[in-house]
Amino acid sequence: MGNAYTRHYLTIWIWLLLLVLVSVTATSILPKLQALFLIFSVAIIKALLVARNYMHLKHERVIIYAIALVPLMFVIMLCFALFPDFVFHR
Amino acid sequence: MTDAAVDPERTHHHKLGFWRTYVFSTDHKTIARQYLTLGLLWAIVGGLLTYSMRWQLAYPETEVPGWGFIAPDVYNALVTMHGTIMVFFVAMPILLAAFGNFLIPLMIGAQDMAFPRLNMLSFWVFATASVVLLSSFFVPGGAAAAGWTGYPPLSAKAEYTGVGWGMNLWLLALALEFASFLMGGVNFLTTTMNMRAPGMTFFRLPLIIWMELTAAVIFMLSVGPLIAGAVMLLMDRILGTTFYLPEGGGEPLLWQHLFWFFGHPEVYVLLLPGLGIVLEVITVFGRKPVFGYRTIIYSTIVAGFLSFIVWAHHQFVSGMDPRLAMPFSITTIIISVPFAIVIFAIIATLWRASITFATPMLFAVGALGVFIFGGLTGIFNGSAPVDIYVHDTYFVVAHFHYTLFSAVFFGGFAGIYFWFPKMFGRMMNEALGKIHFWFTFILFNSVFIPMHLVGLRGMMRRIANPMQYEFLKPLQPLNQFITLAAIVLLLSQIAFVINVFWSLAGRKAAERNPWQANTLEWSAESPPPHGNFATTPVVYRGPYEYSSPEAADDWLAQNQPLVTAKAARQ
Amino acid sequence: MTTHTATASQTAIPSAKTGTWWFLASEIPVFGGLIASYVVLRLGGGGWAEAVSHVNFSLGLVNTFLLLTSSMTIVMAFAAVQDNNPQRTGAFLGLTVLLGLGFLVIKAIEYSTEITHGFVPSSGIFWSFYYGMTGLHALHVLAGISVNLVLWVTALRGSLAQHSYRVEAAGLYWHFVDIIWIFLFPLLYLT
Repeated sequence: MGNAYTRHYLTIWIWLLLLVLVSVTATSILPKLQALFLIFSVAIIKALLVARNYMHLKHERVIIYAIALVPLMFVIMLCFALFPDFVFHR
Repeated sequence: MTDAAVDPERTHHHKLGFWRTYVFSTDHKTIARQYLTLGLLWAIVGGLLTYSMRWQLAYPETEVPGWGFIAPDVYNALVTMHGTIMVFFVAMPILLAAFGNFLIPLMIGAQDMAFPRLNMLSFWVFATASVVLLSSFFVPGGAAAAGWTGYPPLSAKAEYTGVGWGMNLWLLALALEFASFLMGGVNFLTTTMNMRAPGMTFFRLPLIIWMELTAAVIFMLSVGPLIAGAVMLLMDRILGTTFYLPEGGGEPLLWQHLFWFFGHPEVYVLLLPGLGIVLEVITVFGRKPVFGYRTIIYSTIVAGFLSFIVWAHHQFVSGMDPRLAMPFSITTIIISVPFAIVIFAIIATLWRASITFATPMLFAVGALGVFIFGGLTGIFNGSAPVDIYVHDTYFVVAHFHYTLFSAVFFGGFAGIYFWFPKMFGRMMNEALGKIHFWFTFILFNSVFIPMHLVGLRGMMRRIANPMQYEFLKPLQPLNQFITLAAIVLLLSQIAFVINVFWSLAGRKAAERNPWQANTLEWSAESPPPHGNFATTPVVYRGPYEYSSPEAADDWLAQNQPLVTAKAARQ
Repeated sequence: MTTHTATASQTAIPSAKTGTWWFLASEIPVFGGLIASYVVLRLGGGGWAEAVSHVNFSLGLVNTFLLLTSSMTIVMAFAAVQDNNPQRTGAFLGLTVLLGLGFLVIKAIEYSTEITHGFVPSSGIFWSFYYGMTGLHALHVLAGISVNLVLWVTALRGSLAQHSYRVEAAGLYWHFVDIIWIFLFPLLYLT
């Protein structure tokens, strides 16, 4: 059991490092807006890799997913609700 | 897990010393009683603050008997601390921590919480928070004075209120209180998910458990942004950051959003356990199943979800983007629907029930009436066009005292009178209980009905001396009447205090099930021993089988195996 | 009374895991609130780019590597404890602790450099957020290191085998702290 999992965890780690390098190079070679889009997409992918593989969400039941996802949804909603007051009005 | 044999683990008495049994206990029942005691003690403090505030309003710039002269900035501290204490140090510990801790393991048939040591830690963190908050009264500059809502810039800079350490200690006390209740929430949810007795499916849980769980989830998901905001406020005060200070690029309005994103769900965190207590009491004292068990659950969950998208109705006049007013008004009106459904279900439960008006039932029905009144004024407050006129007036104060009192006071006392035999092994005195109820009910309405009028005539919140305003002078007789009624209301609580000590000192022990109720806690001893049940209960049915045609009595316990008529004849 | 955190389970998800996930669910809005505030204030106002240019990008990058690697080492420790291999468990837990400490050391170096250059919390709105977000995160890293340290010591004594769920719970928390940094790094260092 150990070997199959450890190889998997190492693979994910390599991917994570590569993705960091992608983000870093993006800042120097891409124009500002594209770079930002890429960087934050990469961040989301990295977070998903850690959550699904290291936190084992891939194998967990729906309830655990719900416990993780519902607060995230509320936070994203809060962020957008703050736009009128702070992004559009400053 | 259908083990019906006696488990020696349960009956073995761990001989722990005084400190481990009564002070640093991991038993959920002891922890619950500790929370209840501390919450009731804080209620006395909160009541004393009420007394001095109301005296100041009725007879401004006179000496408050027993207290002394109150300067306007001291009045601000009184207002602030009254709100903070009542919400976070009375309502939360009594409704959530005390009742939740006591009832959850017992009602689901478990021996204790999933994490008993975490439970003990949560109480002692709360006790520490209490010490920190109490100490804030005695530091130079006095206690926090920026309102229980603590809006910056007033709260961000010490020189604006004259309060230095008092405000920092206030923030620290709140942070500790939040940590304590987050720990409690983890315990409540994990315990109920994982430790239900055999046969206790989710849809056989008593409704108070559903309410406590929903309240726990709401609290845990909503408090985060306020914790973030409070960290930012503390940094502004201590480290000179500028999160909320415009001169440093900060935004005072940000605090309001972060605060109310939590603040609004918080009021439902307080309300739901109160409604849960009402539901338990009315079924027992009406000898009737609850009407719409699943409807109540689904409505509660929907209301819980909606509670996260109504918060800016507290900010209609804050200067926020006016385009936010309509969506938040709409969501606020919508949230009244699931709550109305629950209220109709409660009324339908009472309809044609065989009602006994024992003290718990009086308080439960009182809670229902008071809540309906408060809910109705909420509709006015939630609509932006009306709120623009009533915001920051006593109309709002009257509204939220109706809704909060119903849950915390009437609901809380219904619960205390109902579960006192189980918690303390003694019955409370019925006559004193009825006196307590009638005085409280009549005087509460005497205080707060006129307060609506005072608010609609324009009296602002948080002012120390209404007499400085010409247009408020005609309201003085009303203010004085309110104060008089409030003082008598406070004094009436003595009936409860006497009842508690009288009952605890009583020699006659309470039976296991004095109310002939169905839920599992009534099959344990009064009070239950360590480990709660001699054997793991097995659950056969839901909690509200009252006046069932299948049973000989008008009640049928959840863990009572059913003997068929055929078997009974043999 | 025996602890029954991992055994008495009606839904077949051990209590330690359920409890940890509920705890994480409450932590998400804490950092979420901070990050949301940062995002909206930054998008709404100009003039932050100047301040941002003074953060130490290379040290931030090193910290990112340290934390990502420590996430890998702690999940390796979990695999090892399930494999009943106390030496590997101890080794990986020890590595995790060291990597975490390395993160904090570098953070301390960053802070002291910034402070000596005059970039203190009161230097403006960007620095308020920088110190607030990284400070709160660092406190969480410290808490995680303490937990991992206790587990490491338990592993060295060979008594961790029957508590594999503790490694999983500690791992969940540690991964959460890592995920927060996955977002803080681009927010504070790459923009």
